[in-house]
Amino acid sequence: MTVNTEAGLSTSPAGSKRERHLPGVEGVWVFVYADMAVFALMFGCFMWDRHQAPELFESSRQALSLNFGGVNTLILLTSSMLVVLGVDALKAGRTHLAPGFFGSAAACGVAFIVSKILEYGYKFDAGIGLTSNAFFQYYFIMTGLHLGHVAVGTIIIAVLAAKSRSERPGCSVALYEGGATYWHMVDLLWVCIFPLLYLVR
Amino acid sequence: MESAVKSVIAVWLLLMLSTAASTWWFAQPTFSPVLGTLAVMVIAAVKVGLVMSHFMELRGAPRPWQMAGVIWVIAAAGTVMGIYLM
Repeated sequence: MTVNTEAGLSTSPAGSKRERHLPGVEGVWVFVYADMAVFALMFGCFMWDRHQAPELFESSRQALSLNFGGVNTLILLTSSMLVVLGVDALKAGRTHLAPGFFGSAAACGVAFIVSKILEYGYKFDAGIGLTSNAFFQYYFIMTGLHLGHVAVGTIIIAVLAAKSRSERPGCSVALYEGGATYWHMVDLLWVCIFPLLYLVR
Repeated sequence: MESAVKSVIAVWLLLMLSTAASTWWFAQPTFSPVLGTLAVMVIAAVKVGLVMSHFMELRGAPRPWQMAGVIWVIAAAGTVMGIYLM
């Protein structure tokens, strides 16, 4: 694949159809889809085990805080949108706006991590842990794996925020698109994990 | 404001509102469990589709990469909803 800085621009020669463009590099997409496949498998296993013991899963689910889960979803969705705006600012030549967008997106990542640590703290205080039962095993493993992804993604976005300070109009956006693709996947996975663990009755 | 930026903000608003509806309406004890859960699952699948098409830019991506996303949503939502309704 050729990475071409023109590909992301919204202007195209009159009359010609805009070429299809894969954001970033192919390697990131292969990793993202492989990661998503593993999570999808986990979703299936969770639903299957839930099917075997619906009462246990439902009573355990009721110990979770919907407010924490819901607000965390809003935080990640907002963060994802800020990254889209950051990449768009670079593509459109408004490079001075990019550091603010990426920096705010990274701050959302930090907010998610802090909120998750608080949530785990409340669970531990209530005597709930990884070994409590099958439901909480899924809860801690799935949210824990996801939290690891959030931590990595927050660092990536923070690095992009710092790097974007020195960009000039017309710069290559492939690196930013790659980081953005990963961060959107982190958002997408939480959009699935949250309803699965917290909302399925 | 540019139209591309406008559509991203419109999608974000839709994602925020549907998240709020799932969390603080369809999943609440006052809503029928099965109908509420199915609504939550359909909304989640639509949200994933919106994130893929508008945030990950799969809308304008080469077909095979786009298809992989579509297959993932159908497989994941189909498996989860299928087992739920068993």
